[in-house]
Amino acid sequence: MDRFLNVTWSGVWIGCEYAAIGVALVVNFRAARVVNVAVGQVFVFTALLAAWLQADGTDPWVALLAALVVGGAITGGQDYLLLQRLRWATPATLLLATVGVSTLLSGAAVVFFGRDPISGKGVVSEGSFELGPWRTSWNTVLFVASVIVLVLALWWLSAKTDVGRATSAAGHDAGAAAMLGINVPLLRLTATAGSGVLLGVAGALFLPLGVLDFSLGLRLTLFGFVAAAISGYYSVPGALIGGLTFGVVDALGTAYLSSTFGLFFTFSALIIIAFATQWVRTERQVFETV
Amino acid sequence: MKSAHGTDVRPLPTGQTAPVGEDIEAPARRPRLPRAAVAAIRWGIPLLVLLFAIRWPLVNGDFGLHIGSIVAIYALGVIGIDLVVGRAGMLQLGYAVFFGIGAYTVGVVAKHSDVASGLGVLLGVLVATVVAAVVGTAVVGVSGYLFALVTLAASAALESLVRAIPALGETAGLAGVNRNLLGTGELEAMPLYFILVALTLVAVALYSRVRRSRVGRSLEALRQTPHVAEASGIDLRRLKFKVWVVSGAIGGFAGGLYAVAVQFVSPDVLGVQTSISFLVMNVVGGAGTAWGGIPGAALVRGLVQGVQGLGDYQLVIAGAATIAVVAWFPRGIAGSIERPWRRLLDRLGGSPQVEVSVVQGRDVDGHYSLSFPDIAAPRLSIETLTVRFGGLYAIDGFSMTVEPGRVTALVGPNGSGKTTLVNAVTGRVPAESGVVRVGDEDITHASRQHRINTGVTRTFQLVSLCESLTVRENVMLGGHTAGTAGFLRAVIPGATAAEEAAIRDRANLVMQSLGIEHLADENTADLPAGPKRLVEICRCLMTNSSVVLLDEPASGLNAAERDHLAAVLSELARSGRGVLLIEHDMQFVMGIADWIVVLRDGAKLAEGRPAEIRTDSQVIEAYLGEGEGD
Repeated sequence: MDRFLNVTWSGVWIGCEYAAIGVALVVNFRAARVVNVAVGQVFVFTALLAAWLQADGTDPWVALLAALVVGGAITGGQDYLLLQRLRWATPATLLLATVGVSTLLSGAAVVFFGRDPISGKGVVSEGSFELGPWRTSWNTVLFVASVIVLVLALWWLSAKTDVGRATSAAGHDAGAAAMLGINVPLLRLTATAGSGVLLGVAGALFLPLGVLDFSLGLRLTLFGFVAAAISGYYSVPGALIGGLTFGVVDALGTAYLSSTFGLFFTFSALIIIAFATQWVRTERQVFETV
Repeated sequence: MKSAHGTDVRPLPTGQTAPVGEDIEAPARRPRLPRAAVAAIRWGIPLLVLLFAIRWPLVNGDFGLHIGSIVAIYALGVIGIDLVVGRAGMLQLGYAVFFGIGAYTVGVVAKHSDVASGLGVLLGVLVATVVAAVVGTAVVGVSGYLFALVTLAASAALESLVRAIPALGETAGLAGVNRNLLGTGELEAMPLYFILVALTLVAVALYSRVRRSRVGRSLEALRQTPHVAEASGIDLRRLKFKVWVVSGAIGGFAGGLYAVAVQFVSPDVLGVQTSISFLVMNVVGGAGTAWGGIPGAALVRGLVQGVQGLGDYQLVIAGAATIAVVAWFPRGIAGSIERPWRRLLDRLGGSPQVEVSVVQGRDVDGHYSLSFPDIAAPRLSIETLTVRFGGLYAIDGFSMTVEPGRVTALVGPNGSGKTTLVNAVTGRVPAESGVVRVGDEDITHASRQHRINTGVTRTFQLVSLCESLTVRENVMLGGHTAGTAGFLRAVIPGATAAEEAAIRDRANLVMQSLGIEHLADENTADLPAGPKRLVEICRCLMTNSSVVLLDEPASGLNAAERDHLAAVLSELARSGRGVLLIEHDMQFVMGIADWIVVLRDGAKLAEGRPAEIRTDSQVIEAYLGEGEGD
């Protein structure tokens, strides 16, 4: 029972990592209709940046702030300077542009931070606590709480405020939204930069929990895909729940079934989810066809 | 708006003016080079560039030959992903799966026997094809980003699976592949390089044949205007499946050759990085072009392999290069070169400038001299048809007939169900109840293809043409069901000549009948609204169309274009065909229709001759009263 509880908890905090990336994918898709493959690498890059600053003697809180600012600047800059200029590009071309950004970021990580796997300090004390059979560190709790709070804040912003609705409208039909007086470029910039802030915070706070290196970005994006796809790739809280579910199932599967085929099962699950989503969508279409 | 017919000069949409009612002047020809000189430039310059490209590895020793071989293999492989991404428009992110299957088949064969690796390559093609066919039915049913997701996940899943299977060498992979490609003994680097280059060039040549074939046209329609493809009788799902399988076979072939060239297979050949790399090569080289894979592979693979000394900066350069191409050369290298190159050749060759906004087919008095072969068409009858979307009855127990030899107009306010009716008759939306009959045949639940064969064709409310195809090719698209040639026949020289000629002749005839044959070789995108509508109607007439359903064909046309359209519709009816005209412009309808049916909220409000409808109080209240203003 103790093992089960702690394995589940590790699934929760790993799931929060996937959820942060999944939510970033959803936010980018809603605001800009772009499948932003670079989000995983933004998470990695900001984390490596924070670790590098810490190693240089910077206070972890300042490093967190730097990660947050840089994360927002990268995703916002990518959208404003690159993707918004590619107005007539096909979805494939847009996706490829983000592949380019992802590759460029991993290259920059090699140049600035080296090729070795890196981990770092947390922003709070190294202490841990026990609650019955449940053991964890304060840094883990902080990571999980921060991701959940930030995601819920993003959800509230996107679903419950005029700004959020306008952003969705801008993503849905930029031309019509612009004609209604919505400042589409600014909203897109804000939303995508917001997703970068989430990634930066998550990246920097993840440092004491695990090891990261420059090459992990694309794979993390795939995990984020799983998290986002479970709920149909359009819901912010859905991506959070998807990430947590996926993290827990993955942790339990690896602990109790097989670690060798872990990734294979993960990606197979993703394929099954995609087929199921397609099926649901087709069923729905039959009733909604115009 | 009154007809401007008869005035001497009228404004054209493009802002120029042109005389009306006069013969079209012979197109002006610019001074040009002799035909032989143009041909020498057309073929000579690409040939020289190609020879230089082929020569580069030869003067750079074994390292050069290795890179040259790799580039040739990837260029061949890019054709497979281009079919799916560039042609069919499906975002395939897991292409390396097929590449890897080909490579691993060769690796496994080499592990267990000493047979020539060429056999392994053939076996690899077979395995990749079978795998593609088995998963294909399910995969092509997935659409949009889910397709991208599924394919990417497949690549990732297979990579991690292979890393865990001892028989496949786990992470270390399989070594010891021989270079006995042809069964004539081990090949040196140089002959192998030449064989690979030859294979790639042949593949590019065959692929460019596919582009211009019946399948090529269908793929353009699938990517740009899937609704038109369906309306032309193309089975989209089947087409996607075929493309997917052919792509898998090509990927398997390239992967097998790769294993032979590097004599080693490791899990990353079927992984995400390789898949993404193929996509980058495709887009950088020029998606949708036949030869884009060559510069794409040379740039992407050549850069990665050739500039090893860059060390830490390698990824930075690869990323920056990708962004640069996407931002500044979205058509890719080949796509950016092809257009200016063709324009230059056209200028040198002095091809005639065609006045695209003028329709021909009038005599000196300004009368249209259109003529369609007469047919005995059946009647289209719609009996108590009901179409329901959820709780909404879009068509509610509606009946009407489209008599042969008449123009029947269907009018009604926006949202009254006119387009839905056409969609139900052509099988785009299912009918809940009721019967649709052509002659005595019940087609209520028939396949779209069958409906086209019975002679029911349509146009769309928004002009729907494939802009990457010429006018003639767009018209030929309508003749899809008249042919049978697929991928295989498309690549065999001469195998489709008779069939293509028949479809082309029919297209020429139809275009001539509608007075647009002089536009046959124009880019569809350059045409004004009027000729575009006529191209659509031509496409409808490619099959032995007996009932033509036209969804607001006159919208966006100027007065002269409307006159011409009216003449075309009258001629179609005179030739014995049934014409169903959906139109908002009541003046146009009143001038041409023999019978008018008024639809409101999915049910019939009235029907009768134009004079009767004009005076019907219900109709005036519901529709004409508000519509009189335009």
